[in-house]
Amino acid sequence: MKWRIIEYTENDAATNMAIDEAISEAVKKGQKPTIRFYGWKPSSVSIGYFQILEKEVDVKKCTQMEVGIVRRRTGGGAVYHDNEGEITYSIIANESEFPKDIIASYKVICGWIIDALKDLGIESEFKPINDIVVKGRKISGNAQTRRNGVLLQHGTILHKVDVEKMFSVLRVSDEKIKDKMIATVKERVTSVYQQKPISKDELYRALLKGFTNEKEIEFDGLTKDEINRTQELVRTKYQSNEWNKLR
Amino acid sequence: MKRIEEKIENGKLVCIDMESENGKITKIIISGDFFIHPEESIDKIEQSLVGVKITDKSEKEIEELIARESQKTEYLGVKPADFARLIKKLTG
Repeated sequence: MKWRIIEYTENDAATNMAIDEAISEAVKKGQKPTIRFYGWKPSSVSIGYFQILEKEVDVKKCTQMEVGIVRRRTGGGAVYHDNEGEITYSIIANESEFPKDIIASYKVICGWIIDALKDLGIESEFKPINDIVVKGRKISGNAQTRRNGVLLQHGTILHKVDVEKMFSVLRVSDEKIKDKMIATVKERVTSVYQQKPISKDELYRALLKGFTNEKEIEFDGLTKDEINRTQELVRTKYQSNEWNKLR
Repeated sequence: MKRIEEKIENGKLVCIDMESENGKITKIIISGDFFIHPEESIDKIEQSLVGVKITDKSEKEIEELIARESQKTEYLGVKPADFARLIKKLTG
């Protein structure tokens, strides 16, 4: 089976989520399974499907700081995607290509990230449900959904992390403990750069290798149909209040 | 609207916002960073709880009601029993 690889591009939040959905629809209709790498321009916050927007995100602050906001199709938590600080990927394939058990399928895909980090000299491990950790500290978060027989998993690998910046746009349940919360997150989160001073490009090359190892691959872009559908989904879904303020 | 929030042991964060009148649920929003497949099951679960007189039901009965509404649903990081426990806690 041949995989389509779409190389790293940077897009705004709505476009990134719309591309993932447009590819999912295309895979359902016979498109090749796809691995895509991307970044967020401008920096953005994505929230999980079941989260309440206003509870998780300081929307006013995001507007002031020109930080994008989008709700994902996948569950999980709110993530601050710094334009320079991380690499995001998505895997879109027929469900039948992966174990039926959801945790087991997370493990397979997260294994590709673990291989890439190993290649860079960083030992990491899968921590169920959906994290990858280095000595107990989170370095990658992942989220999956399955619809119409198609699996979509997307996730981020932190290259450099700025916890203060992260919490300038994410809300904490109790403002009084914000400083303590920032200190805790600093202890619990790490980044590739903190582990090894390598460039984002080196990280990307390692990820590309880890994800495509032993696969038959073809580098390609989105089809015309996928681009059209992306634009439609941006307009009708991912930029709409109806979707982003669903909860 | 009353709110209860709990980090499930070995699981995810669950938040329930609920309004009730004379023990009957009039509005409920279940949110958090958990995973439910398919995602839309959450709407069915919420809808099935509206109108339920929570004071007449045991925790087990609420759990069964949620499970019945989401028979083909896969839960990760939360279970119907967690929702039921939190709803009961909120009314208690």
